[in-house]
Amino acid sequence: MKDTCIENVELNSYLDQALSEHRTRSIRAHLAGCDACRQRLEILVRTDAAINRITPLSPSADFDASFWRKVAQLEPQPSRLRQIAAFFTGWRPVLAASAAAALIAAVLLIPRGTQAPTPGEVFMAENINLLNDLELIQSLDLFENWDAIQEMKVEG
Amino acid sequence: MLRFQAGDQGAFRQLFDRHKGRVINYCYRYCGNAQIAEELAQETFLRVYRAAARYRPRARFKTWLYKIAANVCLNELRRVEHRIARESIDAAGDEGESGSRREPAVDPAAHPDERLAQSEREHMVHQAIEQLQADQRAALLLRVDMAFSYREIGQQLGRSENHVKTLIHRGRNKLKSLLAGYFGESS
Repeated sequence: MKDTCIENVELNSYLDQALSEHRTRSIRAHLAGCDACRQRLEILVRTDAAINRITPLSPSADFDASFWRKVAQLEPQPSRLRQIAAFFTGWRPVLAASAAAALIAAVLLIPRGTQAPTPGEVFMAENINLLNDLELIQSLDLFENWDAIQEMKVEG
Repeated sequence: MLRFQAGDQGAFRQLFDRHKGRVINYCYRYCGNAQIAEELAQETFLRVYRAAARYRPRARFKTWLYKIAANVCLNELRRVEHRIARESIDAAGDEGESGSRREPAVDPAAHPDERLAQSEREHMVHQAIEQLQADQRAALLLRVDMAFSYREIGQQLGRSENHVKTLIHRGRNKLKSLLAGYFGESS
């Protein structure tokens, strides 16, 4: 093979008509004068021909029928919107609403047992506005023990 | 395909009838077994059917169709082979048959010796093709059998054009070596 001969990769590309017009013309000109490259190209052509000469297969008698049976078994997939809409129709939403209503009724209506409020709780409920004077309230303990504090001062 | 997308079922039937023969034969050249080829071809059209909603006419329909066929052959061949082998064994029972292998009819007008020779030659070619790497086989068949361009084959196989060129070059050269006996000469 001469230095000017065509590389195998390029010969393949020439065969596949995948080269530029300029390169194709120059290879064609080379082939016209090079027996070695023409023989190499001829072997590639015969390799392709071996594939193309494989006797074509005709579909079997059952090919169409068995294919359409498979198509019939394909279940149509509902769109996402239809899937969401289907959730809000039918028996499911009725059941869910009933269960929610029953739960709310149980919370509101079932007695949890009652106890009488303590005197402290009654006092707080009657004097709820004292919370506005929190500082006064926090000092109440101090006033409760005022006598004891005064005695401590005298002793000290 | 666009008519089928719009709901025209008859349009899909037309596509199926128009392309099924070539798809079956692409699969047959790929796998060398008629029964498996038909399974692969049916799987290809089932995927076309299911994917209709996603089809966008960015390329020729045929390019898209064979993208699916090539990927079905690349990814489903083993599964289909195993399933058919299992079914054949179950059906054969104690007889030990390996299952049906429906062969295409060679030229009935040819002399019996010629028919035998043709059948043997084709068997040799099938065996040689099966020895190619999967992606070389796919690329070479898309080029030689279906005449797709390197660019289209790149789209179908998810490869660059340069990679496709390399796959075809290596696949063809290997096939050439394996078929040296077919040509009656040394490679």
